[in-house]
Amino acid sequence: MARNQSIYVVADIHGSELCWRKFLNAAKFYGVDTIVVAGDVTGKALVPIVERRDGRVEANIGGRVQAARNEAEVAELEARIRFNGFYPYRCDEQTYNDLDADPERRDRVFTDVMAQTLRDWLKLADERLRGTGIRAILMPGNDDGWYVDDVLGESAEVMNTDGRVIQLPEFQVLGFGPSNRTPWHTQRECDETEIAARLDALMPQVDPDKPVVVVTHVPPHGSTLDVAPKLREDLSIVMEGGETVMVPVGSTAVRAFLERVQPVLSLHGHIHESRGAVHVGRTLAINPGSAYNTGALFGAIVTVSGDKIVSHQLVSG
Amino acid sequence: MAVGDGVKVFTRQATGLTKEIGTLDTFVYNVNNQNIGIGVAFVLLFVPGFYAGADLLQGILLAVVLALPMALVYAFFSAAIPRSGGDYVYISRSLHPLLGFVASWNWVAWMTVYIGVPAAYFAQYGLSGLFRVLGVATQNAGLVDLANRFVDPVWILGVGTILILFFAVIFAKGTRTYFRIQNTVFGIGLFGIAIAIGLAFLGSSADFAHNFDTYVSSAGGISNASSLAVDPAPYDAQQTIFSSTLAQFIVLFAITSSFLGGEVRRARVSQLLGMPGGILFVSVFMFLLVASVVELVGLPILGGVSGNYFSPDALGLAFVPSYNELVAAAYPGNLIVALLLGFTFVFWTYVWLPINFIASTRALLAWSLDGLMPRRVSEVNEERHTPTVAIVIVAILGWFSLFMYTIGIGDFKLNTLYGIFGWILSFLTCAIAAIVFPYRLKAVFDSSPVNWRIAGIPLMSIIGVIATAVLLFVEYIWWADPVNGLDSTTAVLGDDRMKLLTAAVLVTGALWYVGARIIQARRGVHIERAFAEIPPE
Repeated sequence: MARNQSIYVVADIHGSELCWRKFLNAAKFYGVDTIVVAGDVTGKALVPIVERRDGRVEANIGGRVQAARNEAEVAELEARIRFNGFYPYRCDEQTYNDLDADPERRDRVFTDVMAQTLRDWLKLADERLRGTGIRAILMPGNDDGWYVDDVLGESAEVMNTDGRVIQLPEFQVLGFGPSNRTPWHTQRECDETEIAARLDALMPQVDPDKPVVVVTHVPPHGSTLDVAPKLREDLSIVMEGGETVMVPVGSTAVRAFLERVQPVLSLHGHIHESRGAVHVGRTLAINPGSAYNTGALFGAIVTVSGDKIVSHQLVSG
Repeated sequence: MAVGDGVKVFTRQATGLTKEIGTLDTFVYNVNNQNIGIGVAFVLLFVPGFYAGADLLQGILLAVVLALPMALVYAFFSAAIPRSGGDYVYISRSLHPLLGFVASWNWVAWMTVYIGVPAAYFAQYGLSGLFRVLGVATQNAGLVDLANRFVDPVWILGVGTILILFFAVIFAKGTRTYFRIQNTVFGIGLFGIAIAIGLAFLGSSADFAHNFDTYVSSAGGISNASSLAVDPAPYDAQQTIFSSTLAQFIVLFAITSSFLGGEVRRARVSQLLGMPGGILFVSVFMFLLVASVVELVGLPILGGVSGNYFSPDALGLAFVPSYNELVAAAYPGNLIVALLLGFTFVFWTYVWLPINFIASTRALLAWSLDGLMPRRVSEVNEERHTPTVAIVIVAILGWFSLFMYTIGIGDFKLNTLYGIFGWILSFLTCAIAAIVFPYRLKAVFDSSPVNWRIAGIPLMSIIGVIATAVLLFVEYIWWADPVNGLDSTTAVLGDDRMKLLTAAVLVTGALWYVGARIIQARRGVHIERAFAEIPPE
């Protein structure tokens, strides 16, 4: 009889250090064997903390410019910025103006800050997970630049499953991070035909005698795990009757793959507001959702026994 | 992309960074949930006859003042914890998951009541008035007879059942159809209000008594209905306070935009003003419409109409006329006026039904996802992507409340407003949650855009204290009001059934939570884990 295996999955923590710290403690807290980030670990905004020529220090938080008068207050600003999943960046007024005027330089700085932050996170993961027997998997998502793979490669404890199949004693994890096309033209996205081809290309690595857990950042199309606000070309949200119009934006290729392969479990993310658990045929598909910017870590605990789901639960840590 | 003034935030090309929902949409979202037509109809149908000495306009103003602090509480929460599922989450995280669930359970219990009640209003106040006003304008006795049938409890039940089934089918096919037409429907209703205000101000108050007599007699009633007019009692402050329940019934619910919010938390003006702004907007229309109808009809005749609400046979009618019929009466034989007022008023009568239907369904889904309801409740139809089981449950509950409102069991029926006392308990819990939120979830508050402090005390806590105090006063009104108060039900019903029902909603919510926890634990699912915060260190 197969031994029960518990998996904890989160997605879309987007630079929230608080969520990352909670994630690293989740295995012990929930008593699970494997912890998974199903894509999108890096943040979306760099918040300059600008030291003005007259000595004032200012940052824009929540749409309001807020000032700090001493080092303790600057540290407090930094903590608040990090809490929201953003990256604080101390600079003088000249540097700020240069960044404002030069998009390429801004992108370089932003990337450096994201890479260094991830490096710090992985160092913390290595410290906390070493010798615990807990298996940690982190798959980059469409919002994570290609540099993330290199940084992940530096970790001793955290495995990258994007574009590969990780063999574990009780099951195997097939991972695929890129999404289908989005209105934001993010770094890891491709056409549906390419997603289908790349997923199929992973199948030779799959052991047919062992249960498969599929992790794709983008959820299957039309599964209700993929319902997002409908957008206009200018990225404004379409409203009807005062209500946001929601439409399915998941991947048709991922759906077709799940329907054909029928893994025991598929884990997703990408659409923060589509938290849920549904069945795609015999496959239990889960999107844990995300509320990273409020410090709450949305996740799901799934207990698997062989090729059967014993239980699953959506949690908010 | 830049945010704010002076210093920018640098964002990159990343999924989900959309433009913020605008002030207009936030505003419409809130205003859509407030029923101006029914609000005014009830103020005019009940205050002049049952609250001797009450000032109608002061009652509306008081309701606005009492609703504002609570609207601010929800606005603050929506900036601090956006897109989170509303007060279920606010209370669960700030106080305790059990309290969050019981508050949400309480919401849903009363929301389902107000699925059945507006389903009844559709025939009782909407179709009845429409057909009678048309019947009088066209001198068609058949239409008047048809109108009279729409106030028969069996007909109300029948029409209401069809309406609930109609919306259940619409929602089972997806909510887009409803939302597509909602703006138009709201526009038609608002247009009707504006027309009614204009016609009431322009109508002849000097001729109204004569026109009213003609209208009532044409509808099959007595020939001198205006003789039932009663002289208004001297001003009474206490009655004015109690009469505010009719307007509170409308303006207390301008909080729905707390469910909207962006990924970048901002103290959006649209949100902070959207909720109180929605209240003020609705109040202006209510105020103008009540003032114009009082000006046209006069308080004595309004008192006569209102005072005979439960004995319409005194006028020789099957039911007393609402404001739309009164305004139409000032324009005898004018079919266009009759059609405009009667038709547009119908759109106000059922407006809470779909709104509460959707909100109840969403609450059931949220509970199911948290393990507090069977998983089947959150199962979604593969083809239509709608939660069929949840929709069926809500439709059954809504229909049961319609049955209890129209037919009842034995001598027990649900009165329209007796449930509001219980409903407000959820608001009260949320206001208390606002007091402790900045202390119990300090990091969330400190990093939020509404982390304002006054003399070191979080402004959100101060508003929470004010809202709590105000809501306690509101609860006093809903307890002690001799017409709509919960305490009055003992005399009306002859026992404490309504009070016991109000308490039972809370107790069953708590028992359900505990029961679900035990059942899930046997399956290896620990519900308390759904809400427990993981220590970050």
